[in-house]
Amino acid sequence: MKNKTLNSIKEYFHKLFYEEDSNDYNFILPETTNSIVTNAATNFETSESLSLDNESLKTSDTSNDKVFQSIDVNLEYVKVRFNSMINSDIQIREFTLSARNKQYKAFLLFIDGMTDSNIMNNYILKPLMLKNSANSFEGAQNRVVSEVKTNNITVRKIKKFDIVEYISSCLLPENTIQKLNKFDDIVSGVNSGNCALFIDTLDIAFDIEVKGFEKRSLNTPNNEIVVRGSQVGFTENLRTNTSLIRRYINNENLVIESVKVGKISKTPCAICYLKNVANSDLIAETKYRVSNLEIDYLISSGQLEQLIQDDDKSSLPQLISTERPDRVANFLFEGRVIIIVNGSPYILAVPGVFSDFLESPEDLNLKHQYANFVRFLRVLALVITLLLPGIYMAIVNFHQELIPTELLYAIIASREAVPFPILFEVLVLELSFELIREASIRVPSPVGPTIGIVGALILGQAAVDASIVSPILIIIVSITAICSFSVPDFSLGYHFRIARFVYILLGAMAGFLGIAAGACVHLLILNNMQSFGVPYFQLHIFKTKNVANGIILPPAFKREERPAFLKTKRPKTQDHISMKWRSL
Amino acid sequence: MKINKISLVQAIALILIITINRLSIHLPQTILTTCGSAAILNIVFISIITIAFVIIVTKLFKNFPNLDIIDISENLGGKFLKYLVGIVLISYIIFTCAILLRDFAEILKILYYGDTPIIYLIAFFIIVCIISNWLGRKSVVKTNLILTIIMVVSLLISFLAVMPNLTIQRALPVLGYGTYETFISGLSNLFTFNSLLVIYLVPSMLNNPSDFKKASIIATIIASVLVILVTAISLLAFSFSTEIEKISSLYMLLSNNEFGKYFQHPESLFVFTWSLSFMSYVNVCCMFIVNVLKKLTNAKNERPFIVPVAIIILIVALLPKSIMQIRDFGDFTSIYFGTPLTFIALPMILILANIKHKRLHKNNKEDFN
Repeated sequence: MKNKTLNSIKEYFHKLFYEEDSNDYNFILPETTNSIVTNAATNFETSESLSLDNESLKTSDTSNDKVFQSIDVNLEYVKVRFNSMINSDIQIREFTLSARNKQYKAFLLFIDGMTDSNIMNNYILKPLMLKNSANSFEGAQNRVVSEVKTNNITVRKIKKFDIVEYISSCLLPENTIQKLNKFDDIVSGVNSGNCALFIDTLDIAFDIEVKGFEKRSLNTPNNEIVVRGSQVGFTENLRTNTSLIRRYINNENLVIESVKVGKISKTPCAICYLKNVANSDLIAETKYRVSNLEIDYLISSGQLEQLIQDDDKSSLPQLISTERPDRVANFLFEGRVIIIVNGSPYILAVPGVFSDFLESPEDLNLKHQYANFVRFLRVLALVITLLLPGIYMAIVNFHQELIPTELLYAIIASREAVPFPILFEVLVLELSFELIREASIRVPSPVGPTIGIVGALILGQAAVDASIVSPILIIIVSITAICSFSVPDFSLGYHFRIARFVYILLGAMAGFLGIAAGACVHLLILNNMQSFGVPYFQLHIFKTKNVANGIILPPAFKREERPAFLKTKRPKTQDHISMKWRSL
Repeated sequence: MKINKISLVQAIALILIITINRLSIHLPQTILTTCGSAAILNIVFISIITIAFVIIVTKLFKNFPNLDIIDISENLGGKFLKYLVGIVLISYIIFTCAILLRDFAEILKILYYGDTPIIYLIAFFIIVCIISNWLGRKSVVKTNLILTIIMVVSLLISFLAVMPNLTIQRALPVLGYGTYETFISGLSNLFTFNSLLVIYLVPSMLNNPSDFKKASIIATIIASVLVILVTAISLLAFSFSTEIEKISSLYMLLSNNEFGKYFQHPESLFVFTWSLSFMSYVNVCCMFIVNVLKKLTNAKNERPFIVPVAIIILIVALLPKSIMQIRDFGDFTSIYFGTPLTFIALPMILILANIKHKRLHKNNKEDFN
């Protein structure tokens, strides 16, 4: 018995000191592993190779690739080029084409969600596949243009049967058809919503306009409103959302992989990334996390966010959530990975670092001076909303000497009739404000302003008149509230609302010492966090040179680099001198 | 993957935070008391000696990349020396950290928290210390970098703020109490840089071992500049005979300064930044202690050490009865224990380890030939 107890104590201490914590999951984003792409991407020699069009995002030079005569070779080529094995919205429809009673192998290449399936079915596949008078006509294969008879010798000028011409003019009742022989042109057409028709034995392909984007059903984003920028928001339909992204990216390197999440719900999700930009390990980690969820159902991206984030104890957002396609396109070009959940208009971008949540979608559309001004305001607002009530508590309770004597007298005078301690007063007012905010979200929209008026104006005035709170505190709480609305990210706003209460308590407990303790722990937590292997908070946000992802936004022509923490395959976004027109 | 290794800048910040925190307490006044108006000259002299010393120490570490003094002691004298050095270092760091913490807490108590028990104030630092070390070394080091920058900036701002109140004549006579007192007796002021003891523990933490030399020298130079500035300002603002020992001389300087109508006494904001930096200091000390303990016990998990270490720091901090006792304890251990340890004992271990290394190397060569 004694030995058993001793052994168990020994075992406990051994476990305590000599076994590592099994709950620790450490994924650190390594440098990119795709060396071919890195080399190709970092060598910027000509201005043409720098523009973010189809040409520049390729891993190797494909400008001379032409359509082959063998359909099987063409098929293999497009499968590789479009990553059709993993790209869920790339569709290849193989069929047998009938022309003049002859059968040809053919296939159609298009992107699901970007094309109109009615046009495709009725005006492309039907005429080509179904036997009808047009394609079963067995006329002479060669047409005699002119005939001359001399000395019993007949000389005929014959126009040979041209299947390309025949299909174009007889079998495809479409108004915009192009015959292309370069793969780059074909790929560009497919990316923009056309379909490509490849036919065996032909060294050209037909580029047929069948664009069919969702247009009318798209709404403006509700929560990420901008003045200068796109007014289109994502919808609940996954395929509509992928097509919206494709319209911005327009490149075959955009991979959209399908994943089903939920044992019962089997919710369709998509993982999107730019194959030649995003870090391969980041892509793999994202796929790993999304694919390894043992859950019965998944309804929204908000649920998925909580299931795949690194630190589930922290209230800080670790994944960026957005309803704007232009923002998503920007993230993809930066080298992030995007996750779409069917049924949710909010799309997730990984990794998300602290500075991302201080950015507004509008920042990149504005001149850098304007953007920096609003960014400064936002940071100021963030500090105020987080610390102002706590600092007020600290000053009034412990550090009265900090403020001018006249102001101190005014504060004391305003509090004279208030029977409650300052802490109670601050907490009551802050809680009331949070209640008003929560109520105004839940009530039907026509009643919303009424709640604001009743809550803020009438109740506030009444509380001051009844000497429940002091007028100076109304000012403090109002400023805090206004500033809290300046935090661009909804989730970060929540975090600050909770943290504000902690700072109030710390300020009341020990003044600036308490706030310093809170700030220190806050910093420690921020520094401890990671998002998909990337440090959540680091001094890169103070980097002002060449990146768009810092506290200070450089001019557009100086945003030369992708964020270093993403460790992308293409570290640069533009040439050192991007505005070549100036130097010419 | 080197998850817990630190970069050059982070190493500089680690060394710096240990040194500069003493500036906001009574360090400048101690130097003024011993050297009088020659304090600037003395501290420049001490700084030069320290920089030279650090260069020598980095050279002594050259043959032991990625090894700290604990590993080197084990190589030199086996487990006995390893445990001896480890325990001495742990005891010294705990003691200095606790004394400094108590000193700062006493200053806070005098200034703002008259009726508050001292344990209540110290508890804030200890709780932060436990949380920080629980979160891990990475988070302590990264936070320390930010807080060190804040502390250095706050010191520089306070220098600029008090600049108009300085009187150059207070530095006269330049040699103060005399040449002997300035350069020979004044050598005892080497204790200012006792905190450089941590450079013996930094090498094993570095991501790139070649950064050790750079980190140590840069940190010492920055610390020297700050010490010289604080000493100069303290000397030029007050007469060196003024007794301002009870609270921080830098705080006194700031509180006697005029900052305009609206911010009449912004020194409490400086106290805020100093509190932050003190928290970081305690976190870093605890991190070093836990690191040494982990090495001594060959433990894989460092978390079980954190709470006991933090509690010991708290208990030691509560032992002295008054602020004068704290300063007496502090000065005594610094001068008679810390300085010999940092500047004599540990370098001796390094020298002996180097001799052993050379002999082994020579023998190996002979065997090979």
